[in-house]
Amino acid sequence: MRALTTLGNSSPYRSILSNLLRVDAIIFVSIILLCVVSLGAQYSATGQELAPLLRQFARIFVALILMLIIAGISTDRLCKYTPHIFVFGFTLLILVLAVGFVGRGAQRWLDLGIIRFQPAELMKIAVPMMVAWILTRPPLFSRNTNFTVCGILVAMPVLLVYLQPDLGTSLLIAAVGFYAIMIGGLSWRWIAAIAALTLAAIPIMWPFLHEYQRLRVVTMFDPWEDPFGSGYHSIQSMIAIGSGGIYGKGWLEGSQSQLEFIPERSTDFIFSVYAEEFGLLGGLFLILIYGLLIARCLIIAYQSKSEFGRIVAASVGIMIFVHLFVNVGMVAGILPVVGVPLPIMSYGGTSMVTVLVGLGFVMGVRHAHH
Amino acid sequence: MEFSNRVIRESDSVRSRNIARGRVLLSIAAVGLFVSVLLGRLVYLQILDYSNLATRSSQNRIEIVPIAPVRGQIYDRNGHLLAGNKTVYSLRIIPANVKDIDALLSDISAIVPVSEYERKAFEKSLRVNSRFEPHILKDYLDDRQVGRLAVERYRLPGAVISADLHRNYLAGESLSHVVGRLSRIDEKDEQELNRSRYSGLQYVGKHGVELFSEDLLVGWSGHERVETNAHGQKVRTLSQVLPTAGQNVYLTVDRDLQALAYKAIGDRKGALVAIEPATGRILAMVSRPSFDPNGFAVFSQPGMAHELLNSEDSPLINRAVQGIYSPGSTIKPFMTLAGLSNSISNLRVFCPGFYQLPGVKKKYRCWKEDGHGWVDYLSAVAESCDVFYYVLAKRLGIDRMSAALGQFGFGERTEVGLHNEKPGILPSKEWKREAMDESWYRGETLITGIGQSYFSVTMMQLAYATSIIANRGAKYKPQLIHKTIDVNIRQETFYEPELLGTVELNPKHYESVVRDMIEVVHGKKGTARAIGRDAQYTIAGKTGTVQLIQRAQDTEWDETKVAQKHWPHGIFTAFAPADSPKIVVAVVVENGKSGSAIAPIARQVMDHYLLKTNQQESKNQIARVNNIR
Repeated sequence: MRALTTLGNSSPYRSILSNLLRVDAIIFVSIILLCVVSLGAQYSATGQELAPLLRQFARIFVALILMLIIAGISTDRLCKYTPHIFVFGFTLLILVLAVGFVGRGAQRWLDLGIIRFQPAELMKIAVPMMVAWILTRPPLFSRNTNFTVCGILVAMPVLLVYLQPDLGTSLLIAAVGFYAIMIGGLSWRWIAAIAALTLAAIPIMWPFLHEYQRLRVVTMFDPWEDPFGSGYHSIQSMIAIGSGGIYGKGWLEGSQSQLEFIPERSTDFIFSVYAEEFGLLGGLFLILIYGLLIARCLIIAYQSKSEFGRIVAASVGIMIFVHLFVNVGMVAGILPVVGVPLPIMSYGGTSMVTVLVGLGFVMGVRHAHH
Repeated sequence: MEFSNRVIRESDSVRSRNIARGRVLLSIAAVGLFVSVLLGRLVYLQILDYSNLATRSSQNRIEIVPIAPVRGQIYDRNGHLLAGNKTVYSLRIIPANVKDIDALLSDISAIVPVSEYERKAFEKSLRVNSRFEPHILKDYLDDRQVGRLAVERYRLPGAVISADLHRNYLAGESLSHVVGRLSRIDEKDEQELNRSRYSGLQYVGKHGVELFSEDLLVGWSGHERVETNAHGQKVRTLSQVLPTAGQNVYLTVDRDLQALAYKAIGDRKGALVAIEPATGRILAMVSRPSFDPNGFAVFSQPGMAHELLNSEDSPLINRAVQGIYSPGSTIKPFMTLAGLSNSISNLRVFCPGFYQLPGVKKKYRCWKEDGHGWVDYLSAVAESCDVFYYVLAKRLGIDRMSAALGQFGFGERTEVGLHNEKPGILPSKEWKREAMDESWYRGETLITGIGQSYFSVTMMQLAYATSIIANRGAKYKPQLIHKTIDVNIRQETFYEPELLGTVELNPKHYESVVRDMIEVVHGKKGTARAIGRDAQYTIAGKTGTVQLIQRAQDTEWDETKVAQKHWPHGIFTAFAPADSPKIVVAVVVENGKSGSAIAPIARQVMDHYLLKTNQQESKNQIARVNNIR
């Protein structure tokens, strides 16, 4: 307990910068390291083109500014506006679904002219915030009533995202929302009951999944059965990672990546590109940074004096962790192929903003307990 | 009230904080556990399974692509190119790289015309073959089309212009049968051909010399190892094994002589074979009607092959080796030799215009109604008396007769090297029993003696047999290949004349028969005297006229009353100069009326060969003399 306190609070990590802005040095340095690694891997994955790299750089810049702004807003104020944020995000989800219904087909994006935005991403933060907000209100009838309301508020956006259809993201929101309720103090009896229900639901839900979704799960167990069909992406990714060996093939030297055997190389499969070129050592380094980042969020949650801040900070940490685990698990062939990006590393703006805004939140929480 | 409420909330808050803290610590432990799983997986892939996956990775990007060899060219004996290779541009489409095939096709047809047939063939190919392979849309693009497509290519993704070497025949129709042609390699070929040798090749020789010399012409495929991306596109070449080009083949045939003979037969059906008797080399081999050898290869003319195959005139058949004809009277010199060698000398027969077997009413006719009167060997050949040979045949009997004629190669293939060569029929008791399960009749011996009944020969056989007389017994295997040149090692290989054996007869008998044959052309009553009159050299020959419809007994032949398709076939075989033969010619013209009528064809060929060549040689001599001066 003593060690944890030191890690979170001690002066060696405080810099002039972190005094001026409310910045957590560990989180900040981790982000910068990840950004640098990301840009390097992107450069290799996009075939050594500069234009997409510059765009990604601009996105990082914008996301960092947003993070600093969020970090500067007090947790109490954010708590106060949580219902507004949630209702806003929820409305956007309905809008996306409506537009998608008109346009026939999968619709995840909201085109705002210069930027395109995925409202589902916003919900990854808004849902745990809303849960935290409800649980910090005085109970309406009993505390269990509050938990029930939380459950409903989590289920609604999950359902909307599932209908987009985006099974991966909807499950992710469900997991983070449920995690927030757990941190909020749901009794173990209920947790066990819900876990049991979820397990029981899998065989019931199975026929409702799309054919391609079922195929992905089946493929996960034996990708080599259909190496040129459904197992292709998984196999090529594993070959890329494995052939990198301990030291990697060297930057820009990964044949699997450079010869375009890896699908979605700059987004979902960026880790394969990285692991092929930088090997096991590079992979360990990257996962270590993520571990540090996640641990830092959880420790800040642990130390937080505000219940709201605690729930949200822990949820952000777990959100990053779930992304990491699902993404790397997917590219390493132990989880089915689902469209989950690797936070900060993957090319694209929405996920970057979500994660950095979340981390800005965590910084704000840390500041609040000084 | 207010106070107590606050106390309850604060204690609640403390309690829930402790619960939350406990669960956060639990999450840290869980995160640690799951991250270890990821790390374990990385260790497994990158250390334990490294060698397996690294091998897969390197195999992933290396592909072996065949490089087709250049097919050897075919030349005539004087080095004129008969079959070469020509670069042909074709438009192919890789469906995997195309978003909307229909849109692409309509874009393309705005630039170059795409026929209904080409489109259908393309669609069929789409259904059958892989989406990642190029499918042919349009073949034989001309330079302008290639240019326009190249300019517009940026907006035609998935369309590829490829250059291939196609066979190009330069000698025209006269040599189509001899040079032969290629066919697309089909499934059956694929099973039979050496895969590594033919990889990358689409065609294989199927007829003529293209088939006969396939082994020399084809060369050997090379291959290159290329690094490819996931779309199979070549990124760079890692190593190369160059193909071995096929050898160039020089035929014994003289292109110009061939063209002249082809023209001489005219617009009739027929065949001609000219041989150099001292070597067996074939100077010309003509079959009419013929066809455009390049027409076969043209993708966009699908109807042509069908039309040729089903034509009533059978232009695809090489009549010189596949066309079998009754030899008719052209067999008579060989009959004479059969008679002389079987000690039937000084035979004299009275010809009343017909012959009857004792006790049989049937009259075996001579072509001359009034009869020839007294005839001997000399006049029998010269005037082609049938009655004389009825008598000779009867005295020889079928066994001795077919044995003697068999020595000259009748009834067996010359093995000149053209596929589907017919052996013809040399009638004998054994042959009839085997082929028809019937016994031999006496009367059949008589008509076999004048080259009729079952007797049939090809012009190739007749020319070969005649060359044996010209050589006074020496049998040189007929050959079509003069030499080959291996361009890879610059080595020439000559095909030496092959002496198969000798028909050992009394030299006097040969001279006697040659004298008889000279009489045919140069004698007062010779059936081919028309061509001998102004000849600058001595020709020895024999005419033959093969009736196609039976004349009723005692009726006269009247050409004006009979449809042309029932006219007799004319056959003529000859060699010249008679004392030191340089050329043998055997020619048949279907419905050519008579041997006499078509003999001028042989004369033209001989003139061209004996006189033009001599002129050329004397010119060369003059030039040499001038150079020396």
